[in-house]
Amino acid sequence: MGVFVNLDLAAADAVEAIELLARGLAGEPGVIDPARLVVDIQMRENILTTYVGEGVALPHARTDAVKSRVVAVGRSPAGVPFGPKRDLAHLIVMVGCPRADISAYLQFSKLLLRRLRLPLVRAELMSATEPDKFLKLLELDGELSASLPASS
Amino acid sequence: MKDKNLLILLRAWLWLRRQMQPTEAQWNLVMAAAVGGTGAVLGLLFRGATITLQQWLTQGHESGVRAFATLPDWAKLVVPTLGGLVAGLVLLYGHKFFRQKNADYMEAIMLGDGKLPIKSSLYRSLAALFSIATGASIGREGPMVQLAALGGSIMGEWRNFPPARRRLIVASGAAAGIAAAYNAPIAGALFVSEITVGSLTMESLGPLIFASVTSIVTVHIFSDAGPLYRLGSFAMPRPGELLCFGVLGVACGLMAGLFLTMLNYLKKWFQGVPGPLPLRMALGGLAVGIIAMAHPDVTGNGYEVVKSLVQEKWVWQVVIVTLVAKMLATSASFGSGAVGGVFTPTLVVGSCTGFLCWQGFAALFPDLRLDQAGFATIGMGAVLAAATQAPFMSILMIFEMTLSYEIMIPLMLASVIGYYTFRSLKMHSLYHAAPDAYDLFSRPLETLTVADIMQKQPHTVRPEASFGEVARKFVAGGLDRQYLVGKGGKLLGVVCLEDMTEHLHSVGLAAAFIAGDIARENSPALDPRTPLPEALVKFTHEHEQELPIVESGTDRLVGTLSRNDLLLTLAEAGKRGARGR
Repeated sequence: MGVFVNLDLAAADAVEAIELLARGLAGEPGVIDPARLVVDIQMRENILTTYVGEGVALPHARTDAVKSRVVAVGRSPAGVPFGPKRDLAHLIVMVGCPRADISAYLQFSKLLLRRLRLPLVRAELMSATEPDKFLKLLELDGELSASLPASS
Repeated sequence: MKDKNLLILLRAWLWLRRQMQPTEAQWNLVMAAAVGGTGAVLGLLFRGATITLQQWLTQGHESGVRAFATLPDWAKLVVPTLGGLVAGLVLLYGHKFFRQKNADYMEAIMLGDGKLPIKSSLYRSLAALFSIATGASIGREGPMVQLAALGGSIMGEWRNFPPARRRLIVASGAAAGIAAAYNAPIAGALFVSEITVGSLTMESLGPLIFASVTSIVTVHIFSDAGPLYRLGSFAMPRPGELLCFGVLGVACGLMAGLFLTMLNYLKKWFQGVPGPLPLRMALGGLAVGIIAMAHPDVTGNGYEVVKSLVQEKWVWQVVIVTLVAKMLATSASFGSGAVGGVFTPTLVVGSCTGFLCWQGFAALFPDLRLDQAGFATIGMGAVLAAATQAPFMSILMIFEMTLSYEIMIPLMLASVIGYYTFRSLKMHSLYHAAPDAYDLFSRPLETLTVADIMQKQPHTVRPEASFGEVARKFVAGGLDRQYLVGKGGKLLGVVCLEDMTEHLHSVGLAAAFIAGDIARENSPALDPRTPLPEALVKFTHEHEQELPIVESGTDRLVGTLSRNDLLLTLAEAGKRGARGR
């Protein structure tokens, strides 16, 4: 699984945030078509916002642009406006999944959301300075740390 | 909070489904049980209404034949005449106002697509109520069964069942109606299975039995039902005596032929009478009234006559007169257009025939140990077997009506002989369906396509529907899948319950996911023009229980087809084809 972490994401809106995060995944072996990944996730975001409350957004899509699951995590202390209400998301976890495995996609998203619902975890994520710790807090460190790319 | 409650409900629902693993056939049983209970209540209400109306019209506390016997002669003429007139007016104006095609349950099950017109069924039942309460010589079991079948039809419409399953659920209603009318649950299921559905496979018999059982349980809750006719001691006949029952079978087969000839003749005669329907029905009522002045026994379905022939002493000359009078009166009522059943009048013909045979044998062979009640009862079964051409049902019905096992051997013998005797007359049976009626299932198999039998209103969901909305539809509709459709009804994918099953604990998912996120794309589909055998091949390859029906070119979702419905239709069409050959 490909992972990208940006602890200081600066984006004017959800569209830009998705572009920046997808750009970070561009070199990942799981990504077949980075441009298509951006389009698919933005299209999904346009249908209904993935802002889930408490400053968390989970832009995601099942897409042919990836051949294995990829995750890009962005932290924005200033917040990125999501959805028609322009709710500010400080933690943005972007997920791209192959179309085939719906159940695994839901399972992964469920675990992520479960962690992100905990106030203590969110507080620590906002204060973490190292990508490793960030991923550990999200419990994405196990299989992910090995494939952790250089992050900003 | 609302979403959380919904998810808890959906989890509970899924847990239940996982424990029970219900298939479509099992759901059919549940539906049949509901239809059975409803059918029994409708039947009891109709019976109660006829008794109440009859007591009001005759200004007494009696019902049936006794109510008419107490009337003065002029009233014996006026009541059935006016009853026929009112029933005719109800039919005439009902047809004018509602303009619905008449369809009885037999036609809907045997030939049609299982749809019974509601308004037409209701006004016809109202007409039957007037006819029966005013002494027409027909049975109330007809409308009772029609109303019970109507309950099944409404259920099938409500659940948007495709034709094959709707026929099955209407048949379940009919079985429930017969079970309630005769306190005969086994015969109720077999009557419909043998005569209308025409098969004894568990796919169809299971729901019919379920409906009959719930019907009879409901009847027992609301009334004090028991065996209709109680026999005294009946000893198993010796081999020589059994021959007499063989002769009885022949006599019953011939008598069934004579009775049906009279029914058809008077029907044709009344059709030739000039004037509107109410006048013809009034004339039919008048004919019954004239006969009833001398023999009030002919009014009603004839239950009291049968009971008396089984339990009391009769003079054979009176029985002959009663037999002829009853056949004439029933033919007049039925022929003039009165709505009702001829099932119980057929039993009267059988019991009279049985009695007369007994009298003859008793005179010829005084040493034989022959029993009047046994002959009257077995005669009923044999005439019923002959007239309906359903010997299996007839045998079991008489058994259930008497709960006497001792009569089974002679009953079986006489019924089968009666059946074959009638067959040799090359006549149509009582429940012969009109060959020119609408007939989906008797079309050649190669001309039937998926479009003919598909469920036309599939359960759809928009791509942007929230996780909560999808979950709500799964719970409310008891569904396994919902079809994701975009603009112009284009099929985009399928949302399967099993994909969501493991993830319903997450309130977070409910907020972040929509139907489009969790739909399977590129699911196999069928074109509506696909011939049924090809569709079966597709089902076999795909291992799916249900497939979407999608128009080639536009990808528009136009329906769904379940494997069970396809198999039911193929079985029915194959059977009709074999029968046609």
